[in-house]
Amino acid sequence: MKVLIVDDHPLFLDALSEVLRRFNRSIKISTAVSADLALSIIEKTPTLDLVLLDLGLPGLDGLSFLKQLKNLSIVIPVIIVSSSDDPIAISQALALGVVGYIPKSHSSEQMQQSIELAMRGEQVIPKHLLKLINDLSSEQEKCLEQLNLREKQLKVLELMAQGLSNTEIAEGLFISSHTVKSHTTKIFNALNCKGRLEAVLEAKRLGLLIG
Amino acid sequence: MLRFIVFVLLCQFSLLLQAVTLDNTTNRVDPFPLDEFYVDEGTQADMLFKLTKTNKSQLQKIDNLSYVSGAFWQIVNIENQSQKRDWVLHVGDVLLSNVDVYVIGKTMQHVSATYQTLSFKDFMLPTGYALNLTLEPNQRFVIAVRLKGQLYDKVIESSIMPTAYFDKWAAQHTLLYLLIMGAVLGLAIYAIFLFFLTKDISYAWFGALTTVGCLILSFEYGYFYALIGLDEINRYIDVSIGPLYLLLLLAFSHNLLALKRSPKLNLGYWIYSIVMFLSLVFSASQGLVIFSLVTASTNLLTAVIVIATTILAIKKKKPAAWYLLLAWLPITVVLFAYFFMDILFQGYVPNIDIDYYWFLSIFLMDLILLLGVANKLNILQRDKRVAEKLSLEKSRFIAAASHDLRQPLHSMGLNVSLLEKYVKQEGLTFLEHIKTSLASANGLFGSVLDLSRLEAGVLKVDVQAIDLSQMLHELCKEFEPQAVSKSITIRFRTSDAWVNADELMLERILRNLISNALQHTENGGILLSTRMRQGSVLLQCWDTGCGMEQSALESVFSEYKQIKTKRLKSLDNIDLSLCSGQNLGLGLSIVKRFSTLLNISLTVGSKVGYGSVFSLLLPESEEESVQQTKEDTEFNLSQNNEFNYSIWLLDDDSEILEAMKATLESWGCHVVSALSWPLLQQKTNNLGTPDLLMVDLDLGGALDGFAVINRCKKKYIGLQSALITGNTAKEVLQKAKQQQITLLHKPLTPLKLRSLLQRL
Repeated sequence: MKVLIVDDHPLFLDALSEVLRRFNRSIKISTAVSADLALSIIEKTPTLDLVLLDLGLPGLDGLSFLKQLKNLSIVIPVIIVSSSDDPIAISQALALGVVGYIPKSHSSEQMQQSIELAMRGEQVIPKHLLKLINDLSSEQEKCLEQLNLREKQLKVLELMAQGLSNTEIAEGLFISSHTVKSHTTKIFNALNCKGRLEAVLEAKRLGLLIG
Repeated sequence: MLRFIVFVLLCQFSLLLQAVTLDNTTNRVDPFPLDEFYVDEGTQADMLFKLTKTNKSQLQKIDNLSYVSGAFWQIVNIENQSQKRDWVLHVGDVLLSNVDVYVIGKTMQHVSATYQTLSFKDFMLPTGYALNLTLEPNQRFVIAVRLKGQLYDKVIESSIMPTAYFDKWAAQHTLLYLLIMGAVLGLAIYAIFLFFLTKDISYAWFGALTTVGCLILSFEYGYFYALIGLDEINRYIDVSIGPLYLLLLLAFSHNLLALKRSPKLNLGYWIYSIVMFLSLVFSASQGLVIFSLVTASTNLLTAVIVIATTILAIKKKKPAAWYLLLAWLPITVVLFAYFFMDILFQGYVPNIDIDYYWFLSIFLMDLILLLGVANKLNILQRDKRVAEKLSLEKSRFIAAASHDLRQPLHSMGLNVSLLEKYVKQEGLTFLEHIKTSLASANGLFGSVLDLSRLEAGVLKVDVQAIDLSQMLHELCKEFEPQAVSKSITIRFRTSDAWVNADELMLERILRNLISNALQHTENGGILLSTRMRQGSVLLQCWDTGCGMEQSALESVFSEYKQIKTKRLKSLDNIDLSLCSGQNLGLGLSIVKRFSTLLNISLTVGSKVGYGSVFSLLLPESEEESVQQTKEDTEFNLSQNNEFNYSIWLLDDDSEILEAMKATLESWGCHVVSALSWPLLQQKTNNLGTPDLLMVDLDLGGALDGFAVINRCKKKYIGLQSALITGNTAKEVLQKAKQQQITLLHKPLTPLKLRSLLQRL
């Protein structure tokens, strides 16, 4: 089993590697102190079984790293090991295909247990965080209902937030640009905004867009 | 709001009162008794003679415009007019119902008198009475006007002019009046509109009060006059002008208070209003002279208060002060003018229609104050933005600081657990100490984060039925080692108690209370008890610790607040020594905040040297049946129907195929699996587009995975696909990337499958 640990704190890297080795002698561990290094390692060894990733990395941060990893078109499971328990960041990470989250405050036994569970295919997210994440998404739903917007319009809004043009959104969602236009008009009306940037900011403020 | 309405009603009531009392108390000598002035068809010459004889000097003295209380004459000389034309006699500001007008004669000697009585129908808004006359050219006329009934107003204007000119003049005046009132009303409506836009209550006050003022004014000037036509209404109107100032003044002063809220100012305005109200009521019953004096002095008082307020506001050096000054300036000038005219002219002001200046000053004041309120809102919004930014920066700082500070702690924690194996018997105690300190440091950081999350409103309350005794049991078990190490006891005494609360928050409250008790208790013990109260459960945490002074009890929950204000002043100089001790009071302040969030009453009692008791009154739950199953792990295990995808699998290895299928189906996926391409085609012939197609690259036949995926993609547009391969060659990777196919490298693990599904 090949595991890559990405963390900018060498002390923590060493400690976590040691914990993993205790857990399973056959584990091959490589480490990276930055996301760029991690990406080059992944390109060299695409058969990695697991990446343990810290979210708060200097330079390219954890979330951007996940986006790039997704573009690589190789499935490499990632578990976040972080001291941040910001539910927004975690739900974003989950949306990017992360399979679990382990708080750094966990003891070595708890970490071992979590990784073992993950290897069995379980989603490992601490209960209290899962509650926070659910709260976030239920808030989003409530917001949608209040503004009388549909799922599809939320999708359009999300793509808008990524800076895509109407044509690009139309291509991405397999709909006509005319439909996109009517969606954006509805969104602007619902959010009482004139421009795209204003709408995205307002949506973020309302909690409609996470992050 | 209520007291304001009551006040306005009282004002209006007082006016009615005045109108009634005025009638009975006004007792003035009429210099021209009716008998002397009576004109009859046959006795015109006598009348004129009498008139000339007795009052000639007066007549001459006053000349063109004759003014006396009760009646006046006007000598109109139109001798030089060659044309015959219509004239209008205008008697302005008389405000009485019946006016007798006598056109006495061509000359003093040659009397051919006519007379006419005017009534409401002849009244013209807002210029008073108007009488149409047809006068012969090249003649001299004496026109006498007698006002029947009691004269209230001190100012009488009169003029005679050609009809065409009069119409123009009246129209102009009416237009001016309407324009100003309309403008004030427009401003008021605009303010109300702004209120709906911004939800700022200052605008609502502004709009509502100004509208009421305007409406009453217009109502009284127009509607009442024209439709009801009561004599007394005239008096009512003039007396009401004063209190109308008051009403408008209150509207404005409210805005003024909105600009700079000050209880002292507020009180001042109330006292002023009451004094004004009472003086008007009392003076009205004391006759005209006193009333006039009182009106003058209240006007002066108003002006003084306005100036004083403005000076006060300017002293505070707020931008609002300048708006106030500008707003009050015109109205103050007008009020002073009123005052001086009352004193100097004793009520007689020739040809100055001060009402227009008054309305104009109201409009200006209104406009400027509205600008002031708008400016204030802007300032507020700017302040709010700045505050929000600061608060965001603070949260970021706290998050960043606690993140960075926690990093070494976490690696220390891992290293300590690794170290444990190598530590010999004697060192274990110290290792335990290190572990305890680590745990408490981590706990403190957790508290800081909790608080910042609470402040950011991220934590949400999720109320559910909780088995309190179960929770207490677990907590006691958890804290037992700590209690034992301090050689104190920790016990709980409870019956079956189910309460409604947020589980995580309640647990945190109890945890904090227990650790607080542990920290302050050196001998004796801690007792957690529950007791049933009507519909609630009283949960108490007793300790036999050092106890607290009565004065300390009040601030026990707010300690963090004091520290926090210190911190805000200098973020750079955080006193970290505070964090090292347990005395930060974070725990109890979280207890307080959580219990406020949960709407739980929290009280504390204590006696120095004996101990303390913290009591929570929790709502009892009726749904005991909701059984909570506590999981062993604090991780949330996946549910069976977590993923609801339809997936097609194609692999020539039946073992791998079955294993994959089993895993995917255990997560709730609908799986169609096949060992070969033709078989898959057969099985999926009648099915729609799947969410995912997974194919092994090496299928053992002529077709490889790429080819299969390509064929499927042609049939199902937008199909997502994954290729399973043991081949790590660059070419495969590139090809997959080009064709937007996800690669799964062997060996396949459940972890990888989950990762794949998570990406969909």
